[in-house]
Amino acid sequence: MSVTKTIITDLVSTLCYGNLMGSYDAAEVSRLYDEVILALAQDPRRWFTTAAITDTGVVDGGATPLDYTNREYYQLPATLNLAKVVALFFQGRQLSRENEQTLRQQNLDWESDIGTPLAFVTDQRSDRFVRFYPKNDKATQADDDTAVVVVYTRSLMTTGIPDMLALPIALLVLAREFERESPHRDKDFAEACRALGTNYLSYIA
Amino acid sequence: MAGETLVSLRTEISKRVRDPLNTAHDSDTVDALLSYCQQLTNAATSAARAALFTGSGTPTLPFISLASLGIRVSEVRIGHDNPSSLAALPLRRIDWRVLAAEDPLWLGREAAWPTCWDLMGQDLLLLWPRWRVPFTIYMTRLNDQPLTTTTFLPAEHVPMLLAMTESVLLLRQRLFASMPASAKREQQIRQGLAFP
Repeated sequence: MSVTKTIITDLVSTLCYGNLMGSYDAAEVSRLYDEVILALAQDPRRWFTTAAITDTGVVDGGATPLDYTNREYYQLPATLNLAKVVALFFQGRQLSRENEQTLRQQNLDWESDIGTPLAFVTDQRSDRFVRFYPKNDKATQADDDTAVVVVYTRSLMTTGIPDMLALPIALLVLAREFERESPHRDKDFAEACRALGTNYLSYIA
Repeated sequence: MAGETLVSLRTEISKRVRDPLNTAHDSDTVDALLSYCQQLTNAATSAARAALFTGSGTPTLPFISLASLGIRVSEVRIGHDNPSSLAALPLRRIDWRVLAAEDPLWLGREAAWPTCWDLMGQDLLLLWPRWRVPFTIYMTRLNDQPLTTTTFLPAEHVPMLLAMTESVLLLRQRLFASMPASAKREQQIRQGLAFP
């Protein structure tokens, strides 16, 4: 039903043949596998979607009472391995995704507004850092453990990869391995792997 | 070609890549690649259908994770007694963004059974509203058995499986010049099938 990173890297090895056999760098393949998973999680088709209820992770301190009023960006827990936020709910209400520029155009003083959050923005560098708009008017949410529900795509998946993705992922890993600068670089093979992998992904997306 | 044995599939594919004695690609490799291509073909063609999930109690969130199940959903029906019952009702697919636009508090809404479904991303099945009564849903799933003595593919999907496996073996052998022909054949078969 599902495969692991080990199975996929074994498949990468199986797909190498002849003078390519044994020429690839296993450590590099492991790193490139993580890269491919992240690229798929960030793809607009949103592979590896999941959902989590989170609260304690919204503050970066942990032990201190949750303070939703004074913070700028909240950090979603690192344990989620979050790549992209698909939807965010605060106390059951879905927040619309905005960007800072739009909010600033609507209201120059948007950062000071306080009320029930209706929208969120994310940090430019990562979706792990979210900011509510307006800032929540309640100081703590300690008694409400369902304060934040996040639907998101996951990176760093080592298990639970659907069987049907094993072959396309292995092909995309091979494409990266053989197109990078190395003694065994093989552009033709890399190009063919990328074309086939991309094609097979499109069959099931 | 329904009920095709693995051996006959392997023989056919080995002939196509001009490796009848399995010297370039050993039998285990061909079998493994046939199996991976079968998963893709099943997913792409919605080849296998089965009851997959029985809802019980009221879930915290109205989601079912599909990632570890290895399935692709194109239709969801809901039934209560017999898994093969034709009386099972199809659920409507409604874009979850429409639900959000109509009602920002949609996530927490409850009813006896879900009335619609959608996918959030590729791997999260939304059944909405959140249900209170156990039920069974039916949807497309992949064959969860490895390809062994017989295929689980409908006969019309076997050519697709062979064409895909052929492409992968040609790639493995670095026979790039032969790949466009095999890709074209794949494309033609794909157009003739009920691919979504």
